[in-house]
Amino acid sequence: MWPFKKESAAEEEAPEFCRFLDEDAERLRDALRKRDWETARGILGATDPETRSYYFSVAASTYGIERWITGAEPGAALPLLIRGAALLTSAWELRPDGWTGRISDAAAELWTRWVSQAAACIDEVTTREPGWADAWTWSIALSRSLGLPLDERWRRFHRLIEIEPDHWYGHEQMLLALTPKWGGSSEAVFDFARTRAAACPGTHIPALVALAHREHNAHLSAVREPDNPDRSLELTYYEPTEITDDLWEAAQLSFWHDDYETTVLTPIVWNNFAYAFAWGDFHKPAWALFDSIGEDWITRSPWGDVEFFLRSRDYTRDNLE
Amino acid sequence: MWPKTRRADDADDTVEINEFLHDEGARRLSVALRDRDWPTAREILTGADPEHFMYYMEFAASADGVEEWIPDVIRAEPNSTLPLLVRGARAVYWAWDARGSGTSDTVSQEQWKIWFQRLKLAENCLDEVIDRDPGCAEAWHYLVVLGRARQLPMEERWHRFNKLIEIDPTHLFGHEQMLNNLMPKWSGSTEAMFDFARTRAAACPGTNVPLIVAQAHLEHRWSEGGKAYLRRPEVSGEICAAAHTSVWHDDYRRSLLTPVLWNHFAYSLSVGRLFRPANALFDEIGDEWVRTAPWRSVERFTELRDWSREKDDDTGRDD
Repeated sequence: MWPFKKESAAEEEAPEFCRFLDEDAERLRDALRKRDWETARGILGATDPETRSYYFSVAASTYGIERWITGAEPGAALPLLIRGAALLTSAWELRPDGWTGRISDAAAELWTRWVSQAAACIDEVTTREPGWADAWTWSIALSRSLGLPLDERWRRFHRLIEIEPDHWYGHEQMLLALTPKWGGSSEAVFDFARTRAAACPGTHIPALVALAHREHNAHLSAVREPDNPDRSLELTYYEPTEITDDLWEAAQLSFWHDDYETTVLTPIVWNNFAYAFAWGDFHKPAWALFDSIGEDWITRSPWGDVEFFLRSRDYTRDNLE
Repeated sequence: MWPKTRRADDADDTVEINEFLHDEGARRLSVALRDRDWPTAREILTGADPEHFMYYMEFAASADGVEEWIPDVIRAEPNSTLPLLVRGARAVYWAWDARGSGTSDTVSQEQWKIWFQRLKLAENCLDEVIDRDPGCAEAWHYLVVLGRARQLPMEERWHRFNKLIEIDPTHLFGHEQMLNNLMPKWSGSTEAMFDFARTRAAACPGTNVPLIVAQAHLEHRWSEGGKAYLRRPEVSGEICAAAHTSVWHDDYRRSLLTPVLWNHFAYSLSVGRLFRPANALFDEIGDEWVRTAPWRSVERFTELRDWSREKDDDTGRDD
């Protein structure tokens, strides 16, 4: 399934983000837009756990889904968890800077309402289906949104990895649960990322180290300019040797590892390392990743916009020897 | 590799602005006023419920030439306050036609003279309507407009607004006009404007009124550096909460003006980067309910809508 290379002469035409990592994800989104729950449920029932967790994240990020999904199949756990996840996703838009940002009284009330509605859904699902990894992923996400103590966030994470030790989305949520803006610290984030990377060699998980650096950089930027909604990240952050070394080791444990298998989520790993390597002046490995990404597997995160992706890629190409 | 498709909903040629909210009465009224056909206009105006009447009166107030023929109607129908109300409301807009919408330093001496003459005419007509029919909400609504136009004291502006909401507690245009009365540019203050918007929004859950919270922020952005102000989380979040107190409140019932709210909330939320609620509103608007305000053009509408949808589409967005 992997078109690693697709030589295109039409370099002039700007590429687009790949909105979905496979065809069924796109079908899923289209079905959910049409409120076609039959089709959507079929796709969400994928047998491969990683693919299933990816499809779940596609469902949860469908805007407006929280308004109708539980009516599609009353009493069922899957729509209930989607509703909880979608409510949290909506709520996070109100607090882009976590607990540290400013929020109006009216929005804080709305936040509280959505998060408690999400809690009702997610808590019910973890009770009913304690062996379901996605439920624990969103239970971790809920824990930071409720401002629960860190040991409770850890407890939920441990439940998750008992079931699925290398669940990408659950790890991503735990990393966020440890960030300074949600009541944790950068030390805790780095420690978590490195520890889990070491525990899960040959998987996507070591890419958490790249996420950790990006979160830390975003944190530094937020501290510098707390009130600027348009603040940007300082790209020179990636230049020091200790940071490039850290990322190098993480890459060795991940997509460079002998046991690493390319899967549906691999473009997430490529894009995050490409970003970090490009601005860490690791031109050759960055270029190899840009080559793998090609025009087809550019994910919105971490670039934000296509112009910045192109700027990063051009910078890498111009510095190749 | 599956074929990468461009979004199917890019068919922008289907988007069309309908300035009458697809309301047959509004369309017919507009034609009747142009044709100076008072019997038809009267029939439409007298048959309207309060919300439609509020909306229709804006057509009467903004219709060129009404000031020329409505005095004859007043003479012909001395027992009716309706033509008097139409004359008063029209005189307000007619005054603005003379003044222009620029700042006061752009207005000449001669224009000021006409402005105040026409405002006085408006006030006289509306006063007479109130004397004869004190429960006429529309007369109070246009008297609220006159409050700022004639630079009346704040107490008097409040008096008029309070009279209006005794009759119609959730009159949207009257609330918008009182908000204008309290803006710094009309001798109010930022604090008074926000206090009014928040107080009235909280007092009227499940109605159109909370829209004024968004409008207060849209006004205030000019003193705070423009669009970036709307991207501040404390601002965009409050607008989102206002939408939830209004069109997304459990008690809200869709009515004639609902699409007006969809358009305004969709605009301010997409500019404020609250893509999920903005996109839910863009879905409601569809191709059918696009308004000129606040987009100014179909192109601007489709540009913001498509951008907002695209931003929301990719998963793993956490920045």
